[in-house]
Amino acid sequence: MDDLPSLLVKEGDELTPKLWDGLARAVRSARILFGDGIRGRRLPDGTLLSCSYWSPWPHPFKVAIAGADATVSKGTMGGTEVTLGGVPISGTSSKPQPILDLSSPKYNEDGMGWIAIEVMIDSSTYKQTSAELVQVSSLSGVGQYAARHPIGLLVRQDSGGFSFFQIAYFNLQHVAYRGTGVTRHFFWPA
Amino acid sequence: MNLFRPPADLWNDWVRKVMKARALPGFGVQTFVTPEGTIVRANPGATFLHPWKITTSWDTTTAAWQMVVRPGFVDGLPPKINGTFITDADMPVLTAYWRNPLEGSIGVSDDGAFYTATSEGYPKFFETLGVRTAAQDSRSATYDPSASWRTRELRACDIILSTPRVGTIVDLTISSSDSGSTITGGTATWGDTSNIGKEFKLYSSEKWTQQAEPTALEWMLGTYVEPTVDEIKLATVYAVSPPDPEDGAEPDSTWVLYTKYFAFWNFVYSTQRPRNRVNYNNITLKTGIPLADEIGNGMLSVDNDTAQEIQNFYNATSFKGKFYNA
Repeated sequence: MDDLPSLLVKEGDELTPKLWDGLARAVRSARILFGDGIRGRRLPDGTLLSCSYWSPWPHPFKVAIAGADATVSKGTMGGTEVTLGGVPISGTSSKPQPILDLSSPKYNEDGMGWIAIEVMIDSSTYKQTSAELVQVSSLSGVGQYAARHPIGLLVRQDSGGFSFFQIAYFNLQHVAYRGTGVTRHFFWPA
Repeated sequence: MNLFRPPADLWNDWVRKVMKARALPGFGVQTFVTPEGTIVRANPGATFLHPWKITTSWDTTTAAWQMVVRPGFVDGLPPKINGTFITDADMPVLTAYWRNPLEGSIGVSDDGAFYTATSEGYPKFFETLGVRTAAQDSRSATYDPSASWRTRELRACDIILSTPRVGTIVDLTISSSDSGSTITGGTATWGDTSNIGKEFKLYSSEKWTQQAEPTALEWMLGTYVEPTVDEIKLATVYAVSPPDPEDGAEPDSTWVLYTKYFAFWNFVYSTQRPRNRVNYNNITLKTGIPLADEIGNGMLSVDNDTAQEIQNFYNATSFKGKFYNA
């Protein structure tokens, strides 16, 4: 592609074929073509562009809150759908999507609480045995055979309600390593 | 060849008209320039409110650019700005501190002459906006006639995520004498460990530089300074001036701000685990013949000393932490 400013000349410069062709190429290259999300109309005085955005991204673990009820869109931990009360969080053909009750959220001393996934592991094999959605005031303190990964944060408001912040955007993987007296839990996007 | 010589003004006017007709990407729009035309498409990414997304605004009270960071999380915790959580209803802001990425620093060459070193530079995107050419090394500078139309100024500011970590400072005093070198004193200091893994903060910096970890040689010598924080650069905010700004102009409400992100997702933070110590036992020769043992062990001592140094290096433990996406 020609660098347009390089086509500028000084008084007395010759109009070489290279310059002319460069400008012709630049004119052609400057034509406006309509890509995704763009609508356009060519008018005598120019091109009118209209833009429309795609719908919001429906990612895994997306939390929807209505009043004191929260639902969480389908998401997996280690390839298995996370559950709430034993029911997959997106529901099944026989059971509706489970609702997480946020009428009395648990908060820590900073006024923060989390919607989290609590992963339980087998004490001998260290393999995941369950992944359950919980609302908690702390992400730690669940012993060495369990671990919590945050999905979203609730921040208590002075008005008595709360603000919500989404934290997880992807399906997750988890692995637990046996240490000396401690277990190391790692979570990463699947 | 008989070539046409049009008035330079007329030709340059044509060129400028074509330049003016080009589609440039504004907010929420992407452009792809091809020989057959410029494809204009909506950029939904511009409206995606990812963690750490920065909103800039001109504060008329303080006459400064301020930045609000959309909450991002480390281990599920929101960081603080000046002691306030970024999830707080009051929404703490960062104030921009600017550096000039166009100016090169002044250096002195081997022959004692002053020169201007190559500047930091900037992303190529800003060339199309008309930002002036960054300073090049004056010893190899070449005139760039295509840049004469670019007169806008550029400033930059970095946004950093930081957390304290265990960092040791070991400083040994070694004295030499005829009988050899001996350690006659030394200090070991630990950084503030009270908030490790519990507190993360955001700050803006004119120019952020990653703190260097001790080198292998420093570890082996036992005299080193470890950083006491783990940090990661989240974004660089650039301010572009109007064309032909006055000399010495600094970002005000007439400048336009753009953000280049280095992080789009939340983080998990983890420090290294201390390694289990390895005990090294010297290799010794036991033949039952005292003289042979003495000679043999003397020869082995060189290898034993080397092995001991390797063991010291291996046992040296760093608590450097890492941020990774989750």
